[in-house]
Amino acid sequence: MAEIRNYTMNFGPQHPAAHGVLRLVLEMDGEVVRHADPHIGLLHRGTEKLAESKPYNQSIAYMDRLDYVSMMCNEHAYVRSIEQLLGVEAPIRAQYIRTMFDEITRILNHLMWLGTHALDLGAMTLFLYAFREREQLMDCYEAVSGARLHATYYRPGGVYRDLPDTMPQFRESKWTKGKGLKQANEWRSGSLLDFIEAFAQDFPTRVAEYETLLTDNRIWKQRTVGIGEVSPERALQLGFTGPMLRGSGLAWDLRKKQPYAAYADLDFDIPVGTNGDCYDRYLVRMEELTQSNRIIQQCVTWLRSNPGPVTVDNHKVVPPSRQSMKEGMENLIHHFKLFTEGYIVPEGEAYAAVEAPKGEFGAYIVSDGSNKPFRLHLRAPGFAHLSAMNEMVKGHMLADVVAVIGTQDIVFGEIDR
Amino acid sequence: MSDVAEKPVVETVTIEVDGISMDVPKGAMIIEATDRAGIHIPRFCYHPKLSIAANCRMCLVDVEKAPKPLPACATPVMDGMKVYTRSHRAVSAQQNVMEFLLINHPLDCPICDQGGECELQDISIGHGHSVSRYVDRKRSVKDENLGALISTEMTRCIHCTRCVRFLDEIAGTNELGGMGRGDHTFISTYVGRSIDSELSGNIIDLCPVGALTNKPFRFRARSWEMRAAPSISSHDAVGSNIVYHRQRGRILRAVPAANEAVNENWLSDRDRWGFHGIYSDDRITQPEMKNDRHWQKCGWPTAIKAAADTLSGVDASEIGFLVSAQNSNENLYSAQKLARSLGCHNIDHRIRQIDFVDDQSRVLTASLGGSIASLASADAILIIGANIRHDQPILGHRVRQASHAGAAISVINPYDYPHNFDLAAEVICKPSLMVSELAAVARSLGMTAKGALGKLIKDSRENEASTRIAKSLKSGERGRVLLGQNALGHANASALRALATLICQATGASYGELPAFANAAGAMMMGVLPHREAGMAVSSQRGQNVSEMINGSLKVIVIDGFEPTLDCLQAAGLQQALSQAEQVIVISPYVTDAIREVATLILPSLTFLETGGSLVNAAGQWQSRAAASKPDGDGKDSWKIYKVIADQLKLEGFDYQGIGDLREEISGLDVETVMGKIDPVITLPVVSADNTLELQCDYGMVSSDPIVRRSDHLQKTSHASLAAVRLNPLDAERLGVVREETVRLNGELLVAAIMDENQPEGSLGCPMGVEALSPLTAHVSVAVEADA
Amino acid sequence: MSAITSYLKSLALLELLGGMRVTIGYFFKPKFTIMYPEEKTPKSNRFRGLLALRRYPNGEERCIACKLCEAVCPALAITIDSEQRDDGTRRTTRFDIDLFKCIFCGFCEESCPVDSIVGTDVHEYHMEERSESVITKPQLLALGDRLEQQLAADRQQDAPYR
Repeated sequence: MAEIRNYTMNFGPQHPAAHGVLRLVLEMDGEVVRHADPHIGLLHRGTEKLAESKPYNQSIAYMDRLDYVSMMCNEHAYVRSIEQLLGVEAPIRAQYIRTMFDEITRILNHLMWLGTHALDLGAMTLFLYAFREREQLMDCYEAVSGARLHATYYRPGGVYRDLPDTMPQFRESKWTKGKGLKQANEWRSGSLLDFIEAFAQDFPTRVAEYETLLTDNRIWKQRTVGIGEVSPERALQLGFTGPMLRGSGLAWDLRKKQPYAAYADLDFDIPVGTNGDCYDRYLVRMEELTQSNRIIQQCVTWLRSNPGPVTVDNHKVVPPSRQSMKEGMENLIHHFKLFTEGYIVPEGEAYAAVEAPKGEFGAYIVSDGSNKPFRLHLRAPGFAHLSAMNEMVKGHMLADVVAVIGTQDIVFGEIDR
Repeated sequence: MSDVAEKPVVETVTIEVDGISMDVPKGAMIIEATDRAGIHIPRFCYHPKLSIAANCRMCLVDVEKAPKPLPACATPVMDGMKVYTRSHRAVSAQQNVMEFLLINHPLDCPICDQGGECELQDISIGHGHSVSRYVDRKRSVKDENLGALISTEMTRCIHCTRCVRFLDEIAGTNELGGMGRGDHTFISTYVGRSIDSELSGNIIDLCPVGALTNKPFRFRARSWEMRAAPSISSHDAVGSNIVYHRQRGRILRAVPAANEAVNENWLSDRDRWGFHGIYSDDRITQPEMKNDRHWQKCGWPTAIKAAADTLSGVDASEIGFLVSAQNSNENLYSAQKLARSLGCHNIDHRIRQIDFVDDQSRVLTASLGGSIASLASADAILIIGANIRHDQPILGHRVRQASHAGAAISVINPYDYPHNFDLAAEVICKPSLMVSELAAVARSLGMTAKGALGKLIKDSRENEASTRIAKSLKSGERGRVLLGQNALGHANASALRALATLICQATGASYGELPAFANAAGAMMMGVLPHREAGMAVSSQRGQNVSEMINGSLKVIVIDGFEPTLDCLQAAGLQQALSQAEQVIVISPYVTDAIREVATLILPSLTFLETGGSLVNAAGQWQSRAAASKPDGDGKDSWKIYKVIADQLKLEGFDYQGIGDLREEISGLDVETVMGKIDPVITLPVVSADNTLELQCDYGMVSSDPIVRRSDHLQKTSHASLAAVRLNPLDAERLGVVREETVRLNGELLVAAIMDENQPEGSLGCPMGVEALSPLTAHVSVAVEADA
Repeated sequence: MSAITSYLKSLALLELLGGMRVTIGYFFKPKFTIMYPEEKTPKSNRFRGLLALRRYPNGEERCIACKLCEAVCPALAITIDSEQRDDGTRRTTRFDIDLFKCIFCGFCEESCPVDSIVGTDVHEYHMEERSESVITKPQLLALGDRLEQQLAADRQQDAPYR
């Protein structure tokens, strides 16, 4: 009998289910994966090195581009790390705005994950529904920052601008007019907070729809139950964070364990799984959508009744307002210097992490007392998750690799950095 | 400050600053102690090189037991003093001072050239409030016109008076002053005058705000977008340390690099703005060859082959090399190596010398006779034939320092140059009389000598000035006799040199020369001399010096790095020699009609800003630099040209892989010191006819080399040489020249003339480096008549 | 009992039918999509699109070549050359933005002390050759002129927040 040998195959980087530029070298025994070797680096942009050559603030824009599905959370970790070094704390309103947008980001991320994960596993409809809701949330991004994805909105000492009191509205067209136009602008007649509140009210019914489509669906369960099981011990050993860890049953969440921003004052639950398979992680993330929605609603209520400054009143770090910059000498000097040299960060090191949608995203900065970081290291959750790829897919079928990639919620922007 | 370090025994007191205890020399100010300890105290008016004014009040610190915050720059330390620089009282005092300073400061940052490198901005960020509370109108101040180099925006001035103190204390010209009082204070020149100091550019560096900025640089670039290229300036024999700032490969400005042993923190205007000359339109970018009176551009291989053919086509003794000492050691060494490899010893760099009779007997040096810093501690200085302020501005400043320290400075000059220091004795006479005047000093010292020199001394007459000079030199312990361009280029330079050496021997003073070119000392060491080889070793065969080459009949002449009609003191003679030669190879970064007229082959070389190299300054310091700018065309460093010519001729010893190999070979040179002989050979002045005026040639500050002559910004200053001869009014009256008008010289040449009381009677001042006047150099004295 | 119930449920395809109910329901609802490009989604007044240079109402260009935007640009997309104009004012002689480098972070607009460089709401543009990615001062000014009304209105509306 002829000897049958394993053979290797490339999965990606061009594969549509490879989520970007993942290249998996799979060693196959027929349809069964014997070994998976993820190759990284195809999206390496040297963000950490680039940051060393720029004043601190200029790198905020690059943080958006790490995990480009959870933009503001990346910014949050970076600015918190700088704030720690500078010893400044953003005003309470800014903390609530950050919390709200972190959660909006979480929903954005999970919707992206849900849509693509389901699509990878054969459920196309959900992808379109998820993107419909993402569209609304990206309008929120655009309303505060002017950009739908790469917001550059968080700043050391707060956020760039307060929430706007108006939302842009649809204009009448051949197709959208009369009742249709009124309906399209229904949420948009008030402020951004009104819009978000309307969204949050509506969102649970949307989540219910997603659940109807997937949770009990037999195909979905066949594709996810028992796939990529990770025991709680292994999850810890592998450095998992976020839903990957909680799916295995560990209730670890930085928002609870090391509360930052306004999380300490908010009421929300941490869902955990039991089996640590793809299906449990799916359930955890679905519940997180609901919990995030809860947090958003609480933030909206708080923000409505508590106006105030959104940046610290320290113009050695935050540029003065435009009007005062044009009128006062000190203000102009500070504006000029902050935009050319930036601020001096005291010597030292700091690590700040946030519970990003994918797990613990952290920024470690070493400052040598100049206006540029001496070293910036970014702790990306996806990197640890991807490292466990072999362990998770070993012994599964080739088609299950797609489910595991999906459940890991891989985004190469943060892994390659 | 360095003085303190030099003196070993200093009485110290112990003070405590921010809890750190330190020993400080008694009498020092708090700010000096904190600066040395690395504790930063904000300041605007304090500058370690200037006197203490204590008028900006920015450096207020909290001193224990003092009722109010005290200015750190004007509070001497006392034993047991406790100083707090960051206490609440100190910080709030600093913040409030900053607020006052900014009250009247205009909102100019975005359009101000200082933005980004402004001390006001930096200190406002570090020590001021971050929000303005002032709402009233700001005052504005009329701008001054300070000439072509410095632009002003006096509303931005914070009255630190650094510029006033600099021009008063360092430049010695008192050209700026503070007017008015209180809110109406302003800094101004005295009734509409511009600033003409040769060191004026330094007030731009000193100004902590954007009130005084660099005019040629105005609005060109921000400090953060330029790259710094440290270099050594080569416009005078000091070799000032300089940093060129370039943006996208083009030099936009120059600032000094601090070097206490050379230029301290200062830079002369010539060094600062000279670089603009490298961007002139007459740069040559490709080799050119003359074919039947028509110039043709050609490639390097063709040009090198033509040069090699030319050099190998005639007997080596019929070739002459004239190499400018503005070149680096590497270029000079290669030039002499090529010449000597060909068997040619006709090589010289002394294009600003006329009298060569003492070549064998003189001390061979281009040295100041001591370090640059030691000039400031001399106690008696005799300057012979030099406008030291303009010829070597940094040395002029050192002489002024010496004068302030009590040194007796005397001059023997052929023109009454304006000095910024007091003179113990001043002799202004026509050039030929300088010899006898110097002999008189020797006589006052009771010196005797044999031969012609002895007769010279014996024939001289002691006078009041000579006795005073003799007395100052004799009583001084650290005397210095310096020969400048008017002495070294004098028709009887040998006599002046011999007398000066004799005086030095008698008084214990050291003998020094102020060479015109940056690397004159290097040129001698590299053996760019007809009678000395590399390392100043005696040459096996004596070649022709500059005069001999000019008056001889060479068939091939190679010129490197200077303009024959402008840079040579015997320009007219050289012009003739070049036109008689069969082939003239000019290696030059520039090409002019005058060069095209005499040259047969022009090889583009590079200026010192575009090449690396090492130089030896007048104090014997070796300094090297890298290229600061990228050349536009296809010019080559001249050592490379010599190397490729040598390769073409298959000469040995030129297999350098790069400048490193060449440098290594040079560093292996054992430089001999050549002492003078006892009986120097000298020439004696010839008394000119009564109806003629003696020619007194000198190079002005901004016409001294090809690069500065092309710096249009320097040429817009009052230092620019006029194309006019200078006449003493008494001579003018005698010769019937009424007012400023054209005069006829020797019955043929028509030139403009100006009346100048500083020109001694019997002489005709002739600015060099001016095309229209270079034919005059054919004469020693000229007959002058009014142009009817 | 649960085993039997779930077996029956499964046999009845209940969960699949439930999903189909959702999707069929959407079949009868108004569409969420729009008819791009004839129809467009609304854009915020803070939108950071293609950059432009503005002028003062009297026609004078606002830019004073302070180079703050050039300094703050993280992507080094802006290149400015400046010199003194004949009337003595500080002006740019070259203002290039490389759209391939620009990351639309908006820092240039934040830094501009005279509201000259602004992000417009233009997000649809194309170029036919690589070299066209560098837009020059005249192009930037022309864009600013074309959109001035909208730009001024947006800035006016957003002024209290900045």
